[in-house]
Amino acid sequence: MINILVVTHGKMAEGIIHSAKMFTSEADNVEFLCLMEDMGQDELSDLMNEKMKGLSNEEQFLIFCDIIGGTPFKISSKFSFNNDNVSVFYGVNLPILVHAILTRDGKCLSSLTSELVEVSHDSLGLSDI
Amino acid sequence: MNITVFRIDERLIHGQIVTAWIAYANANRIIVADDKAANDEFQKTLLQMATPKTIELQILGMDETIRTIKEDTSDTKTLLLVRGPKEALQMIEGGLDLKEINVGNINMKKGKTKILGNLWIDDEDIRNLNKIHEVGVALEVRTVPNERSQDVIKLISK
Repeated sequence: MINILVVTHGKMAEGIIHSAKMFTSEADNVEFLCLMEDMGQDELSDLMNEKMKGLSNEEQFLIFCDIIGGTPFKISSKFSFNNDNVSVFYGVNLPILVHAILTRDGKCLSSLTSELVEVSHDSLGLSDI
Repeated sequence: MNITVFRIDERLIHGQIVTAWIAYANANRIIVADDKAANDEFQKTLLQMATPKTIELQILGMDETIRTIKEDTSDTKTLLLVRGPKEALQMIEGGLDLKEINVGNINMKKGKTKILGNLWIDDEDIRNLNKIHEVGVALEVRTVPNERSQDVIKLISK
């Protein structure tokens, strides 16, 4: 199963996982990290190292972060640069996260991520009403 | 070159820069003055990815930055980023005529004392910040533009 890690500025990661569970119930291998105001890049990197520890080469990791260019994005990208089994998806929102948790079974990382890009187009818009 | 914002930020380009400071500086260009980043292909790729497509990015070594800014007589509005107080002082001592520095993030590290959530300093930082202040450059702390500005020297001399 693809492991999911959500990393954001502030407590959004914790909050969005809490919200996602209203749709998915308890989900295995879904974790979060929050970059708080007084944390440095190195500290976030250490925390992420801790989360990745013991990860075998066969296991796949999908990291969701909030905005492109942000510190969570930069640290995550370093992990994905050094490891083919890690992908980074930026611009996470609730529909995308829920979709990933519910449909990841039996999929490889690249097919899940390209599916998520599709889903993301439909997840933002203006109501017609 | 018109340096509209000169900022100390250990994270260089990141979320606060992309969402708030580029607009505040009205910048068309970002210069990252950092020897480490200038010599690291992976860092350069990351910083380029972090920069909006409409903004020109230059990642230069310290000396090269000073040379480039001195030689550029255009009016291009530029956001100048350095990693820490030491590098900021280097810019000033290199002869750049900059009047104000925005102190963004100087993060927690072993041996540093917390001044504010985003401002952790050690003796070396204090020395460098004081030297910058002594030559008449104003130092303010603000992580994002609409935050209240605070005087760095007042904060660190408490």
